[in-house]
Amino acid sequence: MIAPGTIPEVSPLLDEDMRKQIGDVFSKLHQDVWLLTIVDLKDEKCVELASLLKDMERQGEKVHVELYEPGENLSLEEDLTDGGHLPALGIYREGHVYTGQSFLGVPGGKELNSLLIALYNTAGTGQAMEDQVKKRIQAIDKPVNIEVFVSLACHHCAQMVISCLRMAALNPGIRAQMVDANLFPDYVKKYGIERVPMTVINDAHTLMGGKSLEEVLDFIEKTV
Amino acid sequence: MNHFIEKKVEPFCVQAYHNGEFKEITEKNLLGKWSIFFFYPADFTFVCPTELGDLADHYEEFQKLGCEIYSVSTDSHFVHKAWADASDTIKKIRYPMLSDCAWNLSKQFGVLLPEEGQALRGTFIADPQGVIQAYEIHNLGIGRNAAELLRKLQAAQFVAEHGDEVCPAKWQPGAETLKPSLDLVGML
Repeated sequence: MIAPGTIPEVSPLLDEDMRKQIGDVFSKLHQDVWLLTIVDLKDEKCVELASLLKDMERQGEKVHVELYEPGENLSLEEDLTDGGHLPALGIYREGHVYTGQSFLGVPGGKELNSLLIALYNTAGTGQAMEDQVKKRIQAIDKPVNIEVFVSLACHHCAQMVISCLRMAALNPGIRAQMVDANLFPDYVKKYGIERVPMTVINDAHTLMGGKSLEEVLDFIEKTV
Repeated sequence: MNHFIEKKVEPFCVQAYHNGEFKEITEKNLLGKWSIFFFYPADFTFVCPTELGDLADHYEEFQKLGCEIYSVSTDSHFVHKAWADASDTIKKIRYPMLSDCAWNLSKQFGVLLPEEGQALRGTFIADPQGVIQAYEIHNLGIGRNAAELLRKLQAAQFVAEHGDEVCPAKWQPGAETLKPSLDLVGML
């Protein structure tokens, strides 16, 4: 385990106004929810993410942060790192039950919105959604792995991440991951990422640009 | 101010000089593939063959992208042929050269200089439904660049295929994490 005090609990990424807004979101949560991350202390992005999460944890009662060293929790690494990519963060329910929602990279820029909304959708009332849409998401019976490649400044990306994570939260067979492509040149090269958001489903089907949740759902139903 | 974006090309019927032959081109020719209208002031001038030759050199790339090019001037199709016979640059052109001697196209696209009876250097990209998606209009002395036009065509086709909710990415390894900007109004 990472020794207490190793990670700064005040993140330079947040200011008081943001902390208040985070606290407002957390006050709307009625279930406990866990943010698990693997921290390689030699990697400054890992430390930056851990610090952001520890700072966020202080803004409410329901959000719990657990930090693991590399090699300490292999099932967590299996869930999140796609073969060793760090920093990585996953959203879990009580008893370390994985919700299928994760982030590779530090959710700065617009992506802090994605993380907060994902927590609200997981442990709070959640955003309004038509029953019919929810049923369609839950009816998907094949494994779906969604990677949403973003840049933190992209204003179309967060909505895409929110939609895909939402689907993962509603169906245990769906996993969705935000990936800050700027941190991972191997993905940029592998998928030829020149524009964002670029969404890759099951390593095979590509969706370019921001789409509504229903459009993503249509695409998955058609292609997977 | 009026503009041409998302304006459908209105019906027209003109004569063209194309690969040694005369033929008729109408708005129906536009349907089903991308089109570029490339207006220039007049045949037998100097900047024009440079631009038209530049386009001819890139024509294959435009064709590969499913795009037809129509050069347009207010000269007749007979003058186009005479120019092709007289100029090596024009001879190598494989796209249709439209004759707008009745000024219908130049007026429709807003590029006509009525006193000169010539068109400004206007370039218009129309989608396969004949709807204009991008254009530029230069004054007479300012030339255009076929490679840049190709880039614009590709961008227009990208947006047509994938929608416009997309950001070009510039990867900067080692960049600092962007400070969060929260915008949760209406999200919860």
